[in-house]
Amino acid sequence: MRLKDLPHKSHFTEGDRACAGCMGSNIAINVMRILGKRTIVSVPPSCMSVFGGTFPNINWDVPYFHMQFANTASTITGIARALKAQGKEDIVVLGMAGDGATADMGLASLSGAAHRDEDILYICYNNEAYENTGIQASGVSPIGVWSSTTPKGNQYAPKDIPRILIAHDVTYCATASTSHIQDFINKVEKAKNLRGFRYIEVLSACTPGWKIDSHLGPDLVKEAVESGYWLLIEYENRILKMNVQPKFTGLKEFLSKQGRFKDITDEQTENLRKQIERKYRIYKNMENNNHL
Amino acid sequence: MIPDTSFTDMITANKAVAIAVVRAKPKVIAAYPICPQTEIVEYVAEFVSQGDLNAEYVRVESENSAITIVAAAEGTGVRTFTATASQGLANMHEVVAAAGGMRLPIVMFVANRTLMSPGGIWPEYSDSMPERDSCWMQVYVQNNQEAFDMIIQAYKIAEDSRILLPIMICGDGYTLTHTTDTVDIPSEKEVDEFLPPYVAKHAFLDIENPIAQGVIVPPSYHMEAKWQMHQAMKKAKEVIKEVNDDFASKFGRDYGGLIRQYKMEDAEYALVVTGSTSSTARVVVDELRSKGEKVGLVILRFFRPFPVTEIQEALKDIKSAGIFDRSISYGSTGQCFIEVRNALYGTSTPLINLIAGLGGRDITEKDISFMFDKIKENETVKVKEPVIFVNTRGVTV
Ligand SMILES: Cc1ncc(C[n+]2csc(CCOP(=O)(O)OP(=O)(O)O)c2C)c(N)n1
Ligand code: SF4
Ligand SMILES: [Mg+2]
Repeated sequence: MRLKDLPHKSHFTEGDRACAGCMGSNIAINVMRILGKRTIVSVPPSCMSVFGGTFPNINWDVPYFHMQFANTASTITGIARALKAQGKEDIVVLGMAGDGATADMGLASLSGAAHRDEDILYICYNNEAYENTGIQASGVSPIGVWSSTTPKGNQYAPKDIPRILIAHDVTYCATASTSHIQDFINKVEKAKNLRGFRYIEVLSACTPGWKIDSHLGPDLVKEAVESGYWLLIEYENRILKMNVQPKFTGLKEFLSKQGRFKDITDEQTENLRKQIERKYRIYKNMENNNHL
Repeated sequence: MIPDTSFTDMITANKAVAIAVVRAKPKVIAAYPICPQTEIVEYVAEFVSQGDLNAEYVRVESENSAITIVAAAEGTGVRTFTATASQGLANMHEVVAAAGGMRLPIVMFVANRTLMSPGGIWPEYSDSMPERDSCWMQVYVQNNQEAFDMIIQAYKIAEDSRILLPIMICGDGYTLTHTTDTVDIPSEKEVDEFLPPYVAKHAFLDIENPIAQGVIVPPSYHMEAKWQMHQAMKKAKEVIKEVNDDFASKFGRDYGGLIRQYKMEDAEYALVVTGSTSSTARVVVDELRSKGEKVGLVILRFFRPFPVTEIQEALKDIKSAGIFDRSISYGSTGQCFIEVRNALYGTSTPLINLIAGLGGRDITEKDISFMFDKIKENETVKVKEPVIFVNTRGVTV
């Protein structure tokens, strides 16, 4: 599907209660433009469960199941298995979870579902913190970032969830950014039509969490891709592909536009840069060794 | 292969439950091992793999996922099954509570086992009792036949459109789960007639008719949802009795519904008892009766919904009663005692709480006789501290 053919109507309806500039909301809208009506969705506790799923205002114009923080992958597994038992096999079962739910408490159930190659589509909107509880660092927060539980900057490197899932040899695994919208559409559409375990992680700017002006999100996620901060990769048929070659420029500027990096030290910036470059080399190695 | 005709076999409660699952035909089963329940998921795996049962069998990575998968599958409109015990049930807790509020008619077997600490794998009700407030029905079975029969009845009760609540069938670990006893297995056809395939009529995940389940409900709507949960649980009493009677007329085994009474007609002293201990207690009652003592038993089967009026009625002419508990709310009393005393509020019946069998300590005939001694003694003594730890070093021995 080309961008110009993307339907205006989304099955995540207008009028949610996300902050101005929330990219999580924007991702949900775009995902549901592509997936359409034949979808069942589950969302764990997160900003999205609040802004799109508080009774009586439910923005999901498809069946919606809200479950717990640790079990999104199992929830959609249960739905998918029940549909299979009923002979309904052409419905996309979608899990739409934050990075905290995905990378921390929900990792065991995500791993279980990936291991069994469950017929599910799991999309993580990654805003790099527990935003709903008021901006605490998660397992995928960047090095040096401020959060309410890392007042002097996060000392740990983010977990690489796609790489963990690639280690499970999953059917499909990709990262995306709405700045590269055609790439985003291709990936969501491909995942929609595949069967088996599919995972997409989308970088998701958050106005209060990133301490930015509400208009800045789209520019920032673009800069994230260009600077190598956010890699666009795709793993399918056991082949890894890097979709966009980063320029490795503009990291400092990218960081300086965000209040969450206001107090990052030079040492932390250096560690962050090294970690990003190392991650790039790891993926590049995988891409170069696909024939193995 | 399991014959589709009726048959009788010497089997453990675990095997009886697994065969009951084959007869009940759930469509999605999630499985995770924990003693003393493990054999159930092993048997069911075998039954599914050899074609006795056509179901999705999901071998998960935790109990949290096991209960999640059955909850989500129920939410999608199919019959499900899972089983657990002790730490496994504790691991499930947040989803257990979610499933109650979502009104998902899940049937789960709990092989009762102590919840640490201290650690142990032996029977106690400290695993299932904390779930009494999770909006699940709970029934405690006495023997392997009852374990089988209650799995079949449980689906019929839980799926009744007047109820739509999940249910735990609780059976003593090892004493039942690993001990063989004769069990009559009705034919597939008989069970099918009693328990037709499940057709979800309530709200479930259906793309033709989108609904939302388990959503965040703000204070302005919250009380009404909780009130409905309370009403459903109360209403369940009626349905439990109906299903019991229906089952009794079809299969010839009458469990009395919420409670079962033994030699209570002219009894002066009564013991309220749960689970497999009821069998030992019946032997003691017979013995005491042969000596002319007017003793009887009230077997508490359902703990949720709690049979308030049935207990009031059963104990109304009793001179003194004791309530057996195989778990305790520390610093207070056993959970059955709390409920029975609550039911008898306003009466002057002397009541004592007999705590026994914790962590799987054997409950012997001697212990039950001791309980009746204490019950009789309490008619005149009327103790202030109602909790007695039976057969406990430094306390009662
Ligand atoms: C078991 C459990 N622990 C903690 C919480 C509290 N909680 C709700 S949302 C949330 C953070 C969500 O973070 P993330 O998944 O990244 O989503 P975001 O809000 O950032 O979009 C937490 C910790 C919970 N709901 N359940
Ligand atoms: S806090 Fe961030 S993620 Fe949450 S609604 Fe606001 S912008 Fe979106
Ligand atoms: Mg987050």
